[in-house]
Amino acid sequence: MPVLRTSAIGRRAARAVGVALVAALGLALELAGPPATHANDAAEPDIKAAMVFNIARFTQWPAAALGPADQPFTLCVLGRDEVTVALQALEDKPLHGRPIRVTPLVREGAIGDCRMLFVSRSETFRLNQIVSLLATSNRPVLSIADIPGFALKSGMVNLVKVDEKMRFEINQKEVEARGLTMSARLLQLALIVRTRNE
Amino acid sequence: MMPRRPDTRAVRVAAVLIALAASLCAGGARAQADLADASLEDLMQMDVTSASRRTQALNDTAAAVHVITAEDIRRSGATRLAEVLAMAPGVEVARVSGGITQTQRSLMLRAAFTD
Repeated sequence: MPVLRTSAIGRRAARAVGVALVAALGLALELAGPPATHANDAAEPDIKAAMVFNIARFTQWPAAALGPADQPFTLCVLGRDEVTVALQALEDKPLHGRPIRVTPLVREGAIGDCRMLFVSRSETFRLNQIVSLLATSNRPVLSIADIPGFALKSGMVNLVKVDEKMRFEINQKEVEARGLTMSARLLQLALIVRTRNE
Repeated sequence: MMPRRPDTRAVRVAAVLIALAASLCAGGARAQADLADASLEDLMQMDVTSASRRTQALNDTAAAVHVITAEDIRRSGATRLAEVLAMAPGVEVARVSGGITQTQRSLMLRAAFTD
């Protein structure tokens, strides 16, 4: 310190070094942490919406089922809660070469336009009705719900929370019966509640 | 040189604040980053938070804290506990029944009652 006090230039230099150190510290704090680019916690609806997107990414539709490449990828939504609000953020994100269009399923007859259907927990009371509606679509619809027991009925995927982490159940039998193919990686991460042979 | 000192100090303080603010903002932006771009494995590793954006110990959750000091009580001239508690925001004290020998008081804390 006595050396730094000998001249105004020295003082200034010391301050500059101080500022640089603080800036470096700030940067270090920012860069520190896990190598993953995301924080290690998030709100439940946001994680669920992100999982819906990722599950669809690792699912393959028969080429004919997706229609021409200029058609959007329609994500139909039944019910309304924080998850369906979070799903709105997926609008226009590319999925299988098409922009996602998030739309509420207002008419039962429009199920044929859905490449994918998300069923909110708010629809628990009419689960059976929804499951039979899915069976009427002539094109494969990836069905994902946030309702306990969905994948044990004729639903395909159900989001579940286990020990404060999100998991997903897959009804492999239903997925394959409708002509969809899920990647080995997806199946490996899933809790398989029904195998293809069941 | 000497008259410039307050300036350089101000600049230094500003620089420190900007550096800290920048690092905080960057952290916030990262937390808000598009989760859909995270891998399924990463998503499945995340702790699920409820209403607030971050996991926190119950003790750290936001809570209204109001401290009534001995000096406050002395100045108020309160002689009953209910009168002291009424000094805190959100606490209402109401006289329920004026008995012959004593007055019953009802305490209300942000809509939660006592009999």
